[in-house]
Formats: sequence, C-alpha cells, structure tokens
Amino acid sequence: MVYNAAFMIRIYLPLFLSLILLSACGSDDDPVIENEEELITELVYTLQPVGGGDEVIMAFSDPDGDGGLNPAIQVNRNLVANTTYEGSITIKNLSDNTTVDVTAEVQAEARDHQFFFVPGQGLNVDLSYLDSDGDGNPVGLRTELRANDPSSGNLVIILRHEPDKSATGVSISDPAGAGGATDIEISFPVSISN
Amino acid sequence: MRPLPYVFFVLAVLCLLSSRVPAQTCSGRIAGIVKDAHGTEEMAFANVYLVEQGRGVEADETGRFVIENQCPGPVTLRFSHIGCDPEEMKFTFRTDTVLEVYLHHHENYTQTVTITSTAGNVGYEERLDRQSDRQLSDVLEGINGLSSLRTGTAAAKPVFDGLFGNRLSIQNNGVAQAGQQWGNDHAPEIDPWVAAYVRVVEGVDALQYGGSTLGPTVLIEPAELGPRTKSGGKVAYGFRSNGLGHTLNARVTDSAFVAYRLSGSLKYAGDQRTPDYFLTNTGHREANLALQVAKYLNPRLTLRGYYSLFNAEIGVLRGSHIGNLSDLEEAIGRSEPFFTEDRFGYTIASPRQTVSHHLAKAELEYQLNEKDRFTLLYGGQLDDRKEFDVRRGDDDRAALKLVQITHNVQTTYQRTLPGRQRVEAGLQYERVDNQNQPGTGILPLIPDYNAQRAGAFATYRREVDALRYHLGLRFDHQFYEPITISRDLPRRILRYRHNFNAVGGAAGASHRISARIRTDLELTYRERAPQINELYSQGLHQGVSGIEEGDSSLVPERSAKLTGGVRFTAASGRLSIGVSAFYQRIAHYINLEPQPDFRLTLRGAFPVFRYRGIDAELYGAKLNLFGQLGDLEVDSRLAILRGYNRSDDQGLIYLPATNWRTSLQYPFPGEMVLNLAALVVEKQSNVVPEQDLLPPPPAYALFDIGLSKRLSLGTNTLDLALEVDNALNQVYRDYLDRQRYFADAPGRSINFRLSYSW
Repeated sequence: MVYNAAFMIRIYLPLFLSLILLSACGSDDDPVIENEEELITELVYTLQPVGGGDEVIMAFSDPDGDGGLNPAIQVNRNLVANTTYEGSITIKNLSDNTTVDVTAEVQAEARDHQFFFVPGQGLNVDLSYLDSDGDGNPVGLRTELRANDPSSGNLVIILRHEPDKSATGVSISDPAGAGGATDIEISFPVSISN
Repeated sequence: MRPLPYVFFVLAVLCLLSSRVPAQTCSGRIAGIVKDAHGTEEMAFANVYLVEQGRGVEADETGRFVIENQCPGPVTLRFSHIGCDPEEMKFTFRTDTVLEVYLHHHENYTQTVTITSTAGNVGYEERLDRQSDRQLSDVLEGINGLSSLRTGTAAAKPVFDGLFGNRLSIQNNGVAQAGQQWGNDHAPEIDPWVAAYVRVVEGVDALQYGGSTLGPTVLIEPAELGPRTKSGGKVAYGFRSNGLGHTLNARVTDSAFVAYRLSGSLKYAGDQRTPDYFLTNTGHREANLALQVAKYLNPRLTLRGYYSLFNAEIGVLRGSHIGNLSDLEEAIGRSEPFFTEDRFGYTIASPRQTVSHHLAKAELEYQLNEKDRFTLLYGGQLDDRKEFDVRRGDDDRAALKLVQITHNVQTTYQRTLPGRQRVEAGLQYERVDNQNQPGTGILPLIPDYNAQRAGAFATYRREVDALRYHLGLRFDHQFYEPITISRDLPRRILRYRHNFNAVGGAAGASHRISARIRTDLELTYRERAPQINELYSQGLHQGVSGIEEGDSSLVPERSAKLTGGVRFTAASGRLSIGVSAFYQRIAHYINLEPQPDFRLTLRGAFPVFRYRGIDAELYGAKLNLFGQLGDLEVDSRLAILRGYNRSDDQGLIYLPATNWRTSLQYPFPGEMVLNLAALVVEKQSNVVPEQDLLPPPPAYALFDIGLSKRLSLGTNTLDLALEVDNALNQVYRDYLDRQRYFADAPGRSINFRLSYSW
C-alpha cells in the first residue's frame, strides 16, 4: 500500500489540483462596447404646406436604443384642414457621438426599402408617394399628405426592409402582404384642425 | 507490490476464450456472464434460452450461467432479462466457449442491441449508423419520453419528461456538453456518427454528472476502445430526396502505438420541402471529425484521449425572420411563408447560423487493485457560434458572435465492496468563459461572463437477494460573474457577482418479485442554480419577437420527482412490457412569462418577457412493449405527459403532446429486413389558446417504411437500405416546433444508404 499512497500523494493529487489551477485561469477583460452603427435613434417627418404656412414636424427620438429610457415622440402642431403637405423623412443615428445619416443609406438601398404611412381610425388624411427606386417602385422618403376635414388619430410610419413591393393589395397605407422585416414602426398622435 | 490476478477485471472487454479441447461427445460447455452494457453491473437471473433445443437456463445472482452437454453444431442462444431487450446470438459450436454478453435496458436506450462476442451480429454501432444521415435529435427521439423542441429543420433540442434546455444536461463522451444552452434554436453540437450509444439516466445514476439539470441527463457515448478492439472500418454514403442531401461517413479503427478510432462525416443538403412548397433557406452543411485513442500503459493504468470537431452551417427559414409584432401577425396567418421560392436551392443566405465546436478530453484510469479504481478526467471545449440576421447593413456581419471556452476537471473513485456493494464518489470543477466577440454592431443579448462550479457526489449501490437499492448525494457551488453593458447612456461596464448552492439526492430500489417481474421506485431531489440567461439576458429576442429580460434576483429551482415502474419479461424473452409513471413538483420553476406592459421601441411596441419563479408540477406515464411474433418484431412506445403552472393555474407551455411510436421489423430470407414505423402525436391539450400566438396544431400520424439488405463479401459486408420517411406525404405541424407559426413540417423523403464495412 505504500506504493499506492505515494502514487496518490505524489502524482494523482498534484495532477488533479494543477489541472484545476490551469483551467481556472481565464481572461477577465472588459467587453468591447459595440459601436451600434445600424441603430436608428431619430426619425423626423417634416410636412411642408404646399401653398406656404407652418411646417408640421413629427419627431421620434430614442438616443439609447431599445431598452434603457423610453423614446420621446413629439408632434409640434396640428395639421391644417384641407391642406396639401409635402413630406420628407430623415433618419439618423446619433448614438455614437458622430451623426450617421441613415436616410442616405436607405436612399442607396432604395430597392430594399419602402416606407408606409398608415392613418389610424378617425384620422382623415390621404397619402401618396413622390419618389421611386430604380425599378419605378415607391420608396417613401418623399411623400404628399392631404389633410382633409378636422379629425384626429394616429399616423403610423413604417419602414420595411426587403418587402415585396409589387405584392397584391400593397399600397402606401397598407403594408399587409408586403412581408419583409420591419425596421421602423412609429405611431404619431396627429390632429387636423381648421 | 505484486499485481493482483484480477487487475484486468474491469478493463478487459474479454470476448471469447477458446480452449482447444475437442468436443467429440456431447459434453460441450458454454459458460458466460450477462452484464448491463453500460455498467459493470451483472444481470442477476438473466434467462438464456437454447432455441434449437427448446430449453433454457437461468443465470445466477451474479449473472453467470453454464450450459452443459452441448453438442457441436449451430447454436442459437437467446438472452433476456427483465426490462431488457432480448438478444439472439448464432454461432457454430465447436469447443468449450466462454461468452460475455451485454444487454441494454430497454426503456432508456434508443438501441436495443447487445455487444456480443464472437458472432458477427449487428453491433450496437450498426443501429445508430443507420441514422447517421439524420440529426442527433432524430436519433434521440427513439428513447421513450424523449421529444425534440425544434426550430424548423435547423435545430432541435431534446426534451425528456417535459424538461429541456437548462433543465436537461447532455454529456458528450463523459463531458458536459457546453454551448449556448439557453438558445432554443441551438442544437447540441454533436455528430451522431461518432456516437454508439445514446441514453437517458435519472435519479441516482444521474447524480455523478455535472451540467445544468433538474435530474435527467442524456448520455452520448462513442464505442469504447478496449485492449482487444479489432481493427476495421466503415464507409457510408446516404442520400435523402427531401433537401437533396448527401452524407458521407467514414470510420477506421486500428491499433498502432495506441488503439485509435478516427471518424469523419460530411453533410450537404439544400432546401427542404413540405408537401406543398419549398422551405426556402433551410439548407444545412456539416463537416465533423473525431479521434479517439487509448493507450494501455500498464495493467493498472490506461490513458484515453478524445478530440472532436463539429462544424455546421445551418440556414433558417427565410420566412420566419421577422422584425416586429405586426410582421409576426402577418407572417403567421399565411398559407405559405413569405420569401418562398418555387425552386430548390442549396444556397444558404441570412438568416443563418455557423457553429464550430471543439471538444478535447483526456482521461487517466488507474485500477489500484481488484476493488478500487480512480479516474481523472480533463475536458476542454471551445464553442464558436455566429448568427447572421437579415440586416439593413451588411448581411455578412454576424448579429451574434459568441466564443465560449469551458474547462472541466473531474476525478472519480470507485470501490467494490463484498456483498455486492459498490460506492462511487467524485469531485468536479468547471470553468466557463463566455465572451461576445466585437464587430456585431449590436449590444449582446447575453452578457460576457465567467462562471465557476465546484461539485462533489457520492453514490452507494447494493444488492441483497431480490432487492437492489441505491442512494446518492450531490452538492454544487456555482459562481457567476456577469459583465454587462448598461442600456442607458453613457454605456458603462457593470460587473456583478452571484453565488448559488445546489444540493441533490436520490434513493431508489428495484425489487425482483419473480423471475419475470421487477418493480422500481425512485425518489429524486435536485436543485438547479439559475443560468446566466435567466439572470441577465436583455434585449430583443428575434426568436420570440419579444424583449427578454433576466431577473438577477432568481433563486435556484427545487424539484422532487417520484418515479415508479413495473417491468415484465416472458421466459422465452419474446415479450417484454414496461410501465412507468412519475410525478414531479418544482418550486421556483423559472418560467419565461409575458408581462402586461409593452416596451416602446423604434420598431413599435414589443411584449416584454421576464423570468419568474413559479410553482410547477409535471406528471406522466410511459409504456414500452417489445414482442416477437415468430420472426416479426414489434416495438411500441407510448408517452403521456402533463404539466401545470400552479401559481397561475394554467398549463406549462412547450410540453410534448401524447405520442405513440410503433415499429415493426420483419426479416426475409437473403438477409433482407423490412421495417415499418408509425408515429402518432396527439393535439396538445395542456394549454389554452391565449397562452400562445397560435393554438396547438392538430394531431397527426406519420408512417415510415424501409427495406435493407446485407451482402457478405468474404469477411466484409455491404449494406444497402432504402427508406421512405413520411411515406404518405402528410401535411402537419408539430406543437414543439417553433417554425410551426410560419410553415408546415417537411414532407416525404426517399432515402438511400449504402455502407461498406471491413
């Protein structure tokens, strides 16, 4: 038994302990904080009355992205009844000190993107596209909005990535059937007054 | 110190000893021992039936048997034991023979086969090899009570008695399989071609295994290399019509300086197809390699090594990738998924996953004397996983990049005591280093973390007459250091520390009421420390279309499970029936639950899911039947399971519906075998429609048919097989398939396989 005891003490136990010590050495570095380049933290939909007048600005802002603090959604004033507006969208990423203009990215990949503007129940507006991609399909960075009679409701702005732009039934206010993945879906409370 | 004569007793896989005594008169003698194929446990009172002579003998309490007065000539022996599958062995008796026979317990194995000695019977590997062109989960589903939680064709995780993921550990070749356990769309990174046995252990038998579990452990083991392992090899090619999949497997076993076995597999498959449309982007590639070595340093000391590399690239159904809730609502109502192409393709685009898993193991076994044995094991794993989403920017930039390095060190001591007693004890240490790799452009869902676990176990087994009992204890201490990134600005690194203790204990007894009937009863208490995803996951989970938030105040789950069963085996070994039932109660069962409040993001409002400890109960029953009617073999397995969330008085989600599998096997002359299999899955009635996006899909039945033929070419064999899966091209969706919201399950597949072994 002397041999066995010696084996246990001299070889086996040290081997076991050194294996534990070896495997216990791991890295302990801080993780890299990702540069969230694809994040969109700001969307501004600017509506310019065609015959002149006050600009209506709908703005979404969420500087810390998903999670953290809740986003801020603001509409600066009411739309004027029976007025036609020209709308333009700008989207930005302001999360990484330097501003990234995502609008240009969407414009560059226009074939893969389409904005939809879905008025909620009660809101009396009509929308149409003013731009198109290389294939003649709409994109929605520039739009026309017609505010009809006084009313109020939500206007939902949707950006779809890789939608089927020519799917049946798809229109500026109806993305159903277009598929793709939703990159943006923001609901703005809008009122039309005289 | 002189080596003892029994030094080899455990190590030696002693197959056949022939003494050169001519048996001219009928005084031949066949002696042997019947053992449990997975332990060194003897099969007391096993039956040995001489088919030609219509007589039988019974083994003694140590599993030993003797057949006297045997005449030379062909002999067919049928071995059987309560709860085990009978095994037939044919050979030509010439001289006195000693056999060592291994039987498998029926219930927990997919394999019903024995390693027999001389006769070139169908080996245990053979049966699994027949499924080498399938995924591991399909192989595992042969175990009664085991189902798969799937994400379409891409990935599947085993579910046993309602437990999966963090509650079911997988031991790959003796090492707890590391990887991203929490992702239900992450399959275990294991190649079925390397595995020879797959089985599930519970209760006392599972106490020795580490890993996150509430009791059950799936064991996946290659065939062991023994001092007498014969050299040989096998190559196989398989083709599957659904997905036009090609599988090439090869294996060589030999001994040079060391005994070794080298295995490799290649898989290449394209889009699968439901009966009505292609499942676009469901291709699959795999390239795997494994090397197993054993060196017998001296009669006491054996060194074993193992290395495996698993590489896979898996396409995820394009139509199941969604951006937000409205996309989801749009996608689930469709008759065919978005992005369905009308052409077959091998291309794998985003969304897709790539994974590379290395496992290296070294094991030193020291047989101190006939009674005492020590083993020391080191297992290291590196899991490198990347997931690619359809993104606005560059699709080739992974959205998730994780590297996990795991080290396991364990030592086990086993001692056999007089009076058929055995004790086993061990110490284990595990370290996990999980790191998100930079360059994804997305804050990680699961933070970086370091984890350490120290564990110890002890078990005791004893047999007294007809009673066999065992008991054991286990203790684990788990330490976590998650290193998270704050979600508010400015982004900061936040470190936390957690310590958990988990105890486990089990006791069980098995009583042999008669030579034909045995009853078992086992009580298991286990605790499970929360895992890092339950504590700290944070962010949008594409798979569930919700924001998942961990709760760092969770406490360990505590579970008590009572299992009981009765097994009957007819004297002829031609019929065996097993019935078992269990009841499990789990306190602080960590459940992912939708919260009443929605979280507003750029992509609209998302439901928030949070982990919460609830009071849960699970109960179920299983029935196994194995019978031989003439040459026809019938194997039938039924599993019923129910689970409740007692805190909220509703059913638990993701539990398998009642399922019933039956297979028939009939041999024709000329070494041809016909197989028929049926699977019937009930509609899941455990949940109410409000608990899910879609109500559970209706019940379905699938039928498979297969014909195989063996050609002997000298000492080598060529096997040919033709099979049809889902022969009726049934349109169905399975409740446990996450992809069922979007698409049907794959339709018919005609498969052809050719294998050559030498």
